[in-house]
Amino acid sequence: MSGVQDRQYQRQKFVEKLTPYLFISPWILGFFFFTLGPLVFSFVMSFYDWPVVGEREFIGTQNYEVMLTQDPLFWDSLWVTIKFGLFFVPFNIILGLLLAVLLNQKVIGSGIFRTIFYLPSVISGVALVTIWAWIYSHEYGILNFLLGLAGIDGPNWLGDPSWALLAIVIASLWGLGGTMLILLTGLQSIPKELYEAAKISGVPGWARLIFITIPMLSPMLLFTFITSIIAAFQQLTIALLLTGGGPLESTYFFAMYIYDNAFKHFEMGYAAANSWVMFLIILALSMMVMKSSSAWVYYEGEMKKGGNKDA
Amino acid sequence: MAGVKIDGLEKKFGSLRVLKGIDLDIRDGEFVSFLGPSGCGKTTLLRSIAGLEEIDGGRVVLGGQPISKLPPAKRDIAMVFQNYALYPHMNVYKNLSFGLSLNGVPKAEIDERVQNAARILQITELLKRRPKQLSGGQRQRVAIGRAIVRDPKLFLLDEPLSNLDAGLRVTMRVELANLHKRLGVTMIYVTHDQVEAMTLSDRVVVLDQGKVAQFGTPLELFYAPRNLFVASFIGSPKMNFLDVSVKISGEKELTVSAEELSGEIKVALEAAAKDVAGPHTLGIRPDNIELVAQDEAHMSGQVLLVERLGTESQVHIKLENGQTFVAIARGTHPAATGDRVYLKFPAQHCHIFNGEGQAYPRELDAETRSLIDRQKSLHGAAQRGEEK
Repeated sequence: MSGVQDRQYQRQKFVEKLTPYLFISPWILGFFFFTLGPLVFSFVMSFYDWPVVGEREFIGTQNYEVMLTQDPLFWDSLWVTIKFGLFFVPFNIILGLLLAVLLNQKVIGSGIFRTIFYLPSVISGVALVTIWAWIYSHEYGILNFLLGLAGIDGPNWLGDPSWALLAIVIASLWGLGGTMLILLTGLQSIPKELYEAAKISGVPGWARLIFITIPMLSPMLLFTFITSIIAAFQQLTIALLLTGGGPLESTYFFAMYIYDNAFKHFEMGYAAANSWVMFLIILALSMMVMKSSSAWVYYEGEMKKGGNKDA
Repeated sequence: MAGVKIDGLEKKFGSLRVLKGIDLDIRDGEFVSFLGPSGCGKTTLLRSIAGLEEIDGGRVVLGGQPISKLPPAKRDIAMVFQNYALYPHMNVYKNLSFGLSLNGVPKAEIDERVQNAARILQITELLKRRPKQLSGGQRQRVAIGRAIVRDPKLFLLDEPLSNLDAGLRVTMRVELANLHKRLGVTMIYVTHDQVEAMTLSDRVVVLDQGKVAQFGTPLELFYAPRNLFVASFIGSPKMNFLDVSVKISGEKELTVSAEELSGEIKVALEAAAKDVAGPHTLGIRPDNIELVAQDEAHMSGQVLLVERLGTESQVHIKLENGQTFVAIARGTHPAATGDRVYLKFPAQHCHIFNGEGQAYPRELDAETRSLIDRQKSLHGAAQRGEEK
């Protein structure tokens, strides 16, 4: 008797434990087949000479060696990407923060402005690029038209190697609505009494921003910092459609380099190795940022080690 | 140090008038509470004094200087917030010194002020900690410390004890009273807890829908409420009220009766009552109702519920007109649910209110009178002591 009961009990327990996994199984399957699978697969690929058609051949670390020692395009595209990131990341965060602070003010129509600033993040990338292509156009572009009104002879934005990268940075920043939105929610979760207390203590507005807003916002700033770095390294659409990497490869991004190796030169193994290098770079940068974060990020829920909870 | 004078203060939120012409004269060094139910405007009034709300009319004068047009920082005030509003990312020392260091106070002086405040509040050991690492009572102290270091003319406290548990609240109440004595600075304290208001304050402002219902010493509010609102708001359990009409208006007395009352009640007044026509209200506090034998009673009723608190029993009684009265009897009073009881309203404890809800000032017995007078003069005495 008790043996049967026991077995029934065990069975029931097993089912109870299994149920939650069944509920998330669609996601788990998706993760294995579409994320983890390709990830592992690409890692394996990166050790092969893997043309789209033809013989595949295991070549060890040769892809990596070639990339690092014999392929100047690797270094050039990496440098372009880094230059882009050096502009894009700080401006994305600083402008996003300033916009969020502005939109956090209680002014009439702030809801409308929030929508307007977020709009570019909703528009499809291709449409966005088309709009920017018109704006930047050397002869008919509205930007140079406006500059002309001010008496400035505008440069050939997309045709001049010294301006093209900047043009892409500006076009990318057009989509900082996402960053702004994250920081705006962060701002709204800061208790307003902190500012009132500061006001009464005679703390000027700039000091409230630096000493209260930014520290209270630091977890969000960390998040946007890391996602901006990742976004910078993955920059592809805008450059691909706006400049195609030119002029003179001045906007030839790392992601584009990978794209070309894979889909233009059909060197899948080499492209996979490229991707893994990009992954490692992003990983290393993210880890560095995370490591530094303990010095500048303040978490509301955090309890420092050795802290006395209650006394 | 300085007194606060408020003249005709008006505040609107949109079209809603939240403060409807507040006039107050708070003396130098006084501890004054703003007391009232939620939504009465007490916090808005405090924030208007602080400058956190722009006012729509009237003015605020602090120590002879009009401050209503000044930014909060220039008003020479300090405020303690309900949720403490400590900067969570700064340690206690930084929390206390933050405002000072940005206002160009020399480092040595900041340190002196912080250490001094920490000593007064006994938080010296906590200076290196973050607010998260403090208990509620400690955080409260830090919040008060942040006010002390400013050395302001006026302290504003917005329900500072409401986030603490009951035991700690009593402790902090005593500490606040001591702190006020020690600093001798004018303090305004917002609370919805009448016990806090009654125990801490020199005088209490009772607010009702944006108006001052009464401004007086705690005992004045209790024994000589000016109107129905104050009478029903102060005291727990609440005062009982009965509709009555005036039978005879004597020179310094008023005789009232009602259908439900057997016999009449003659209440002694300070002055002759004017305009006694129309409906009036008789008020009597639960602890003043006597449960007596049938032949002495003014009224009878049926016991609904007896709450036994040990030292006293709160007897809820359903009257014949359907109203419920609460009477407080001794702890061992035998009344039980369903019993018929007989109530007596001793005339010296009855309050009479006219049709507009205004009280006729009644004549108080010598003991009560002298207690109220003593409370009124206590503040003055403390003041003279401070000045030496």
